[in-house]
Amino acid sequence: MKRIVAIFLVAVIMIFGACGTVFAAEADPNITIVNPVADTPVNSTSLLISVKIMRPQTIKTTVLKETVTTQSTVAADGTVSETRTVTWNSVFESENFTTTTNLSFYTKKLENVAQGNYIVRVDTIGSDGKVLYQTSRSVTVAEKESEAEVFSSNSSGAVNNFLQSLLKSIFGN
Amino acid sequence: MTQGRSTIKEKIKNVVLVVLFLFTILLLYFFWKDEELKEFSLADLRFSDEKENVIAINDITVPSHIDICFGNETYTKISANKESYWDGSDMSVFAAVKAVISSQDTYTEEITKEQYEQIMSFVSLRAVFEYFLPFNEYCSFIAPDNSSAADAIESISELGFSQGSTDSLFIYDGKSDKYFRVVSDFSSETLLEQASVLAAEENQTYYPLKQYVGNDFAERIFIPSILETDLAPLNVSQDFGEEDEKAAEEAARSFFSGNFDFVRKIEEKSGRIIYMYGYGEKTFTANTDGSFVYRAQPEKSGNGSSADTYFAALEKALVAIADQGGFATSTDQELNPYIAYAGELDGGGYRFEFGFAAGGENVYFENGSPLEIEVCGGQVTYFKRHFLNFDEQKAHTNSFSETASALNVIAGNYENIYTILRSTVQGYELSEEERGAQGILYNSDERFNYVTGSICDMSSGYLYKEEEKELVPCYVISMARGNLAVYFDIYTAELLGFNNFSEGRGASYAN
Repeated sequence: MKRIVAIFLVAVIMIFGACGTVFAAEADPNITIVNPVADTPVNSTSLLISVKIMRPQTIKTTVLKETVTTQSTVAADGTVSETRTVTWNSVFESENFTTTTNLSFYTKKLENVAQGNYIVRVDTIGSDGKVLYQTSRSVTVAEKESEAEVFSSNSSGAVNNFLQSLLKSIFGN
Repeated sequence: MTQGRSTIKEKIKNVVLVVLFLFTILLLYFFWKDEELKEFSLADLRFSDEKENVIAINDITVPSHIDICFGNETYTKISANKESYWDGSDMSVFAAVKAVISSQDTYTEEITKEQYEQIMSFVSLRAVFEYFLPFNEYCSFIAPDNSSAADAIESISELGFSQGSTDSLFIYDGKSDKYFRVVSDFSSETLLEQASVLAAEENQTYYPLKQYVGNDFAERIFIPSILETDLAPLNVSQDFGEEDEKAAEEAARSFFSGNFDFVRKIEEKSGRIIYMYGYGEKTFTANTDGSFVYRAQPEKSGNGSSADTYFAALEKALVAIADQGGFATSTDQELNPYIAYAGELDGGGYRFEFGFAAGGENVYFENGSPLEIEVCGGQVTYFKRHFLNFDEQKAHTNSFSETASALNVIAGNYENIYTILRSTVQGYELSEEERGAQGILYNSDERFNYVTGSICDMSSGYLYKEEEKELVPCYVISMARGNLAVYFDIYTAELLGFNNFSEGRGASYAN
């Protein structure tokens, strides 16, 4: 049991360690990731990234996809334990985008985006090429849930239809 | 023998009399027409069908653009190739609309804006008419035996179909700002499948502006994520050259029943020539920029007659345009026209403005439209034509390059746009929330939000730069409920100009 807990802790540390590399620096107050929207799943195979930049600077955008691998280990005493490892792999890395105005947007459309968890990370690059800030937004790409009917298929339409037909037959078109 | 000779003499006399009579008619023709002998040809005497070159109402009454939603918050906007979607050989939105209108088993109900927006978030298409189109008249025009006409619907601003309800035709009436659906036995499923597949293959992806900037807007504004184009600037020459007085004279003559009787000609120092009939009942002005304007006082005083239905007025306008050479320039270049504006006149009658396309892209002017015509009481009371000559073959270079980001055109120019909005658009009031001290927004965020909140549409096209004699590929940002259009260079994002419609359209506002 202790071993399982230890392995679980290692896994948790690995997850946060991996995330730690993603969220290394503080967010840039002059950068806003407008899209994807926070806490809103994307139900599409294309992902629009829109970054609002509120001063002249250089940014670099990276999109990381979460990959979870599970490994089962059988101990000498026959105990089976599972190790969950989370890694973040880059699926898109932009060129440096430099703006000279006080307001501009960096936009990018990613096609054929698979379902899963993603992190959109925007690095603010200093004049010496070093990363000054890291602003990020996590997003989940999920299958679209079936949408509810906008117009109920009850008999109101049929009633309306009947009434309209009746009125037309009485008064003409 | 003597009697026989006298009979022959009488016959010769008769022939001579007939010949003299014909010569008299011919001489009178030359005298009245004021033409030279070398200009005369027998072709002029042939009987011609006046309606031969008249554009059919169905061919010109097409949507300004068709917007397609792919159902996952991505869209595309079809402008240049809209005719093939509207009534093409492979698919026809028009045929679907006609099928619904013609159906004998329909019912119409008003729906809410929220329902309309929700249903249009499914795979759907919307044919957007940026000009006035009366609903009942249109129904009667395309399907005379229709039973769908509904008095509650005044105009057609949008016609839509959605996979969320394939048995419905959705209508947005911009005049009354109401939404409707017409339910019939027609299913739009096949049409929507065809349209969405075709549009996904052919067109670029657009997103609503709110997805880029984060704000929620009342208007749906679609912005391309990336726009690639091969549009090239085009050199133009004016329709009637300054020295081409003869062509202007010919145009003038056609407005005065083919002759200049009781017509005075006034030549101004600026080069402008005015032909005036009687005491100014009719005037024709040939401007130095190659445009001409004809004005006639309505023969019936007061309001336009009851005969001024929309389609009667449109047909009258199209016949009048055909009489003046149609959409061909003075060098016989055939222009591809579209309706840029249609609306009722205050005193009765209708005003139509026509634009033309170059390489499939609409050509915009900083002042007015290429052809403006007003019909009142069944009579053309105003006719302004400002055509251009250009080589349309040079519009597309087949070398595609990325344009300036549409979003950054707005972001990089919002201060300019704000200044233009403030200085031009009268009566477009800010709400209390939008208004800063004395109506001025000092905060740049507020100004940006005000500008983006005022946008109605963004598209591409050509802007005619008169001084440079050039058509420049541009972005067009339509603002303030269509009262202002601002133009930017599509490659450099530089401000090119604007057209202010807020002071009104109509003969009284024209030069």
